[in-house]
Amino acid sequence: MNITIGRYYETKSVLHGLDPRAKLIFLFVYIAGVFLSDSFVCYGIVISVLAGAIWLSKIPFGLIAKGLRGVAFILLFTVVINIFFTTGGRTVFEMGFVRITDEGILLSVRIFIRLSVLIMMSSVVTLTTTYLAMADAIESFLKPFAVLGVPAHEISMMITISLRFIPTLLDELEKIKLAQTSRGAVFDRGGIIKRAKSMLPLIIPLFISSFRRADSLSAAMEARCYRGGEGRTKYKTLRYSKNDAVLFLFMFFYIFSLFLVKYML
Amino acid sequence: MKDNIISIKNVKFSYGENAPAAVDGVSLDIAEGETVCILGHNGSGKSTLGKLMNALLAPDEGEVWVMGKSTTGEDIWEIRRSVGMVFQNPDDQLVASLTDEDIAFGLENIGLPPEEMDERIDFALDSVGMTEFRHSPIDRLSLGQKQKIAVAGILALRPKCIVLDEATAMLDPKGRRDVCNTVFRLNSIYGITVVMITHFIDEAALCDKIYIMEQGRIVMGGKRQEVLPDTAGLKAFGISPPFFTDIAVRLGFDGGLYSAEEVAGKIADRICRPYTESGNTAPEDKRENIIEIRDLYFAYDKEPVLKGINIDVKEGSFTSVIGHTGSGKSTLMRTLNGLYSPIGGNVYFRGKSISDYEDIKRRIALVFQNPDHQLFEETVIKDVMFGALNMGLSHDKARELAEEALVAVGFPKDKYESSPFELSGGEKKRAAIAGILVMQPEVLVLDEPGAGLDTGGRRDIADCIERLKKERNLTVISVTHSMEDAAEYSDNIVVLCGGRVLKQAAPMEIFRQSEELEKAGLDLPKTAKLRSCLEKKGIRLPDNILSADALVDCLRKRMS
Repeated sequence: MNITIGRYYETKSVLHGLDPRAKLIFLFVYIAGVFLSDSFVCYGIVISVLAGAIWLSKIPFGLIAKGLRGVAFILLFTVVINIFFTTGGRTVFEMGFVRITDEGILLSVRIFIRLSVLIMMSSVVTLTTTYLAMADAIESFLKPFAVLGVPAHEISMMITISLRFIPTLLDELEKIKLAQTSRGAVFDRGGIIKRAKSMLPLIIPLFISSFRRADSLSAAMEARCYRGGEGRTKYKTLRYSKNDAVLFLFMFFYIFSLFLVKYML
Repeated sequence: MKDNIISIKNVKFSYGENAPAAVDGVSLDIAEGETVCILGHNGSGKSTLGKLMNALLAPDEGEVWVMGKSTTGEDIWEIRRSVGMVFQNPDDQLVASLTDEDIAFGLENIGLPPEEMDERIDFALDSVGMTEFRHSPIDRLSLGQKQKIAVAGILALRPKCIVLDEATAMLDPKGRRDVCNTVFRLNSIYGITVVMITHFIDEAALCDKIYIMEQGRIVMGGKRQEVLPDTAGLKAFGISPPFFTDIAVRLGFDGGLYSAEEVAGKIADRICRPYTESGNTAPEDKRENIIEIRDLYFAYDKEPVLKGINIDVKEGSFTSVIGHTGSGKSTLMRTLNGLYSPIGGNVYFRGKSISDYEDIKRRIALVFQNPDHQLFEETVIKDVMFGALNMGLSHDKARELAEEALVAVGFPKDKYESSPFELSGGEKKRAAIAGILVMQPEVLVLDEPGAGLDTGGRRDIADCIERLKKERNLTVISVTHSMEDAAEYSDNIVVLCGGRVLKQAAPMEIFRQSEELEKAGLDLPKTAKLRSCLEKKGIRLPDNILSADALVDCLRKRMS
């Protein structure tokens, strides 16, 4: 499986013990920082924060890097687009209509760094946070909007369940693929329309099984007395701890130093 | 008399106005602390009856009372709390990603104060023997363990009654035993009423009372000691009676609930010619090898799952591959036709490496466990044609082959144009096999062909495969959990354990000694169990007697 976002990996690290709200806010701040960055010193800071987070999480680097493989195509695509279609700057290489400029190279390196640190940091956060904790955090962020009619509990329940079923459905997709392959189905040949058509033998069984699962799951939830958010208590109420305070402090320093590098140096 | 915890009075229920009644006039009382089994085929209405018991469904007619409260009244939440329900597929009922968070789900729903939850979670995990998995990711548990977590999730709500809706159907024999033991322990320690909805007669035999359902009605029922010995009655409703009881009745003894030892004892008292001439050995198999697996290694990650497999499969043979979950059976099947590439060793088909054949997936064709993973077309016939069309055959030729294949598997003719999603479990299985057969394979590989079917359905599919093998001169390789099927149908058995071949031999040789099987964590088939009990009493039967019918015939001749 190439997708690491949405999976949980237990190592009992400091990051696992942090409040999910703090982690989500951190992710948001981190991403803002990445987009703020424009010099290689800034990228140095951004990358060292990522490296620190990976080290703290005790998650094998290979697993986090795997997350990149799933989006390798998008990554490659943006890099290529930027290399070939940036026209400003000094020409480094020219052949026929292909012209590569130093600005283009610089831009694509930046985009590459930005996208990959974003994805890796998101992986770190999701790998260290259970689905339920994540959904709880989202619910608590949405709660203030409940007065405006935002169904905070329902949204969080939907997220929990979708995330919980991602690994199950991926396993199932793999089995369907094997079953159709052994009936001689081919999925990667022909033009776009033919390819799209050849996906039907995969998608239809997966859809039908998802509906069936949804049906069983709703019965099972009802049988366990589920009836929406009203009157419900929480097993794990979110509470900020000392480590979360440290994290908030760290976020401040992170943004502060990026600003410093950007506007002072 | 104890109070009735559940009381069902003349209940009728149907899914939709024009649908036939799923439950058609059932009355049933279940006393507190009892263990009750609802036994029936798939589609007999037993699961619907279960859902009526905890107010997931409301009856169209009649009434269901749970602890004196009607399920159509205001108290359904109280009822659902008292009558917990465990469903068939553990993956479709667990909500959270960690065990304790999942068990807490029900507690959160009933609004229990968070301070009290840990105690309840500890209690629930302890009761199902899963304390060490308190904070485990559910992904990593086996199906049996997941199902025990589902039981714990119900238990935390402190129910008076647990309904198991085919909760063991998807588990392997070990997981099944484990879940059953857990539930019955809860009954004996805490007096929790157990309602077991199942099609396994061996599970029914654990319950105090047994009710048999067919077409929405309870057609037979009463105490275990009354129902099970009535083998003729059970058979009339298509239910195979308990094995040893059935043997005893067929040999002319009184019906009763017997163990292998008891039946062996009864036979020993009446036997006239106790000793057989000599133990005969299997004749030498002179057929050509069609598949040779040599030193095969396979790994998903670093740790190999298959560690040096060597297997010979003779042309026209029926090979059963047995082994517990995780022994590498399914993985091995997928390396046979190149779906998975080995990291070492090779598979040879008719003397040549499978990579030398372009059409090896057609020649060695795999039928997967779950037909839902392959059926996708609008109609059955179109779906079956899929494989033939992929081979590049014309539409007409594909249709001709598809019809042939459907006839060969005994698929009902009037359903060729039906949607594959409206079929029964057995019909889906047949359509799936036909979908493979249409490619005209030389070797048919089946991954647990009986999975998900009830006893009758399993039997039908096993017979169907046996017939196909003869008619089409196929070589069959079948992965199975059922020792009985392996003993009865195959002429070659491969015992897998931990990614290695523990033994490969003819059934009579495999089942003569139980050591290898025990090492692999497998049971003896019931015929072999009875034989070994007889042997202890000095009665030796010829080695080639492996099916129940042959056993009964042979014993009849020797008894006065």
